[in-house]
Amino acid sequence: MAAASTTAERTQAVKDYVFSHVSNSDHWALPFFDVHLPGWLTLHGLMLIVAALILIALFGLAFRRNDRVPRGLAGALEAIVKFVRDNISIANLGEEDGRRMAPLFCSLFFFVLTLNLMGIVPLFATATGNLGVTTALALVTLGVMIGGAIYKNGLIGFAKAFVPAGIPIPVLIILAPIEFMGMFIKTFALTIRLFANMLAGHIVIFVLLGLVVIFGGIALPSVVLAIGIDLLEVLIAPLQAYIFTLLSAMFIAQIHHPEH
Amino acid sequence: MTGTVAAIGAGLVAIGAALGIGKLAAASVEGIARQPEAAAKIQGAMIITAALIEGVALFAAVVCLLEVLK
Amino acid sequence: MAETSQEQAIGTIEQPTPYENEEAQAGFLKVSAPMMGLTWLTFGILAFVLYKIAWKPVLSALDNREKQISAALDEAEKTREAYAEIEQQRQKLIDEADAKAREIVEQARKAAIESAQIIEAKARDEAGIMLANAEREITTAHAAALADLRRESADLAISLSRKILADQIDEPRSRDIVKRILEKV
Repeated sequence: MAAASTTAERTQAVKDYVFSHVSNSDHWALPFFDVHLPGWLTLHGLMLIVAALILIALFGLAFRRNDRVPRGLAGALEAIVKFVRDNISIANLGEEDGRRMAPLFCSLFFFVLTLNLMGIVPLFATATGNLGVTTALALVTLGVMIGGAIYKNGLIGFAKAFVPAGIPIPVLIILAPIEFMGMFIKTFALTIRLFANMLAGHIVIFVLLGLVVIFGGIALPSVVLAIGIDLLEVLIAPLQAYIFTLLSAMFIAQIHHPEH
Repeated sequence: MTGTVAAIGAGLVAIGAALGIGKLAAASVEGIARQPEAAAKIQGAMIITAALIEGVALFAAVVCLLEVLK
Repeated sequence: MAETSQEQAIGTIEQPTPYENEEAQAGFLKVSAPMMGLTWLTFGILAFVLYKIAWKPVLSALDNREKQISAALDEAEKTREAYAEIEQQRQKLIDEADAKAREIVEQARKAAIESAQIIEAKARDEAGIMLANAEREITTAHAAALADLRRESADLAISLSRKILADQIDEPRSRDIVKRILEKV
């Protein structure tokens, strides 16, 4: 994009740069060398693995000693775990199921949170800005929704979740398929929400910075805006992880306890 | 041309989301003003709802993006 | 297919070709199967490992601590109740001792007043007796003195009159006169 001269060309160059930056790629551009990645891995795949390793290392280090009262890092992590267990899992699924399923939501929350936060850190890429990743994560939720409901309530109980009580049969014929579709729509919405949030934030930051490239010095104030958006991203990363986990818990609870 | 239409679409979505979040914020602030002791709960619910509205807006934004990149 | 084109583009990373960009642009709205597979694999392994090293110990520690805290609170409550009971008993004992002491003092006071009254009555009796004795003695002495005086005066009168009458009358006559006088007295 360096050699572009006219505004239109520069705009195209910025657009190309932004989209190539937020897209998955098969190389990892580090400051002095470029790491080529195999096709099955790709940059976002690498980020997934790095995130997993960071989490394992973090928890491994924090809880290597089994203190009666955790301090420092372990205390902070434990507070988050407690928050996820109490405010997401137990709040939605009830005391018994909430406690049993808390590990799943903790894993989801910390995984998504780490992936989101890695997007803000330079040199790393946003794996949650990859539709494949968010789809896979939302399908985990869908799997738990369907599998858990069948395990808990049986096939008939699972089917009953789509048939609300006290509704006449003609309405049911229309309503039941909508309810059934709703399950997939919820999952789809979950996918898109996380993906679009993470992607849009990065696109906005890069476009704001790109304005300087397109219009020159006159657009310098947009850098301040970009920094503002970047700080907003720091807030949005945990928020979206929370929303993703919370909605997962809500959807799972809805289908596991259809009477509510 | 599709880019222009998509930009208009993005603008419409922004209006809708802004209206939604504006109403939400107004109601929340009013709620907090009436019951300051419930501020934490209202804030939590507000942030969640705001994120949901934002999700819808971004959903539309992605559709617009799809149009731009076609 | 994205991979092959990107592999071709590796050599020209500095200056992406329009072709590569189109692929990239189309790419980021595509769901790639290997990516999903990789996500599941990573998430599965991560969830398993974290369950072993983090969630299980942390959640059980949280549960244990909650139990310990509630147990400790119960214990504290019990201790407080026990203390309150002991305090009550102590207060009762103190009250009882106080009442007893007051009773003893009261009894002692009553006894003292009684004995004082007894002593006083006794003293009064004795004084009365002594007074009566004295009065009797006085009366007796008075009577004796009167008798004495009577005899003395009679004797004196006799001797006087004897001396007077010795010159004037004889003894029998004077005796009559005396007798008459004495009868008048």
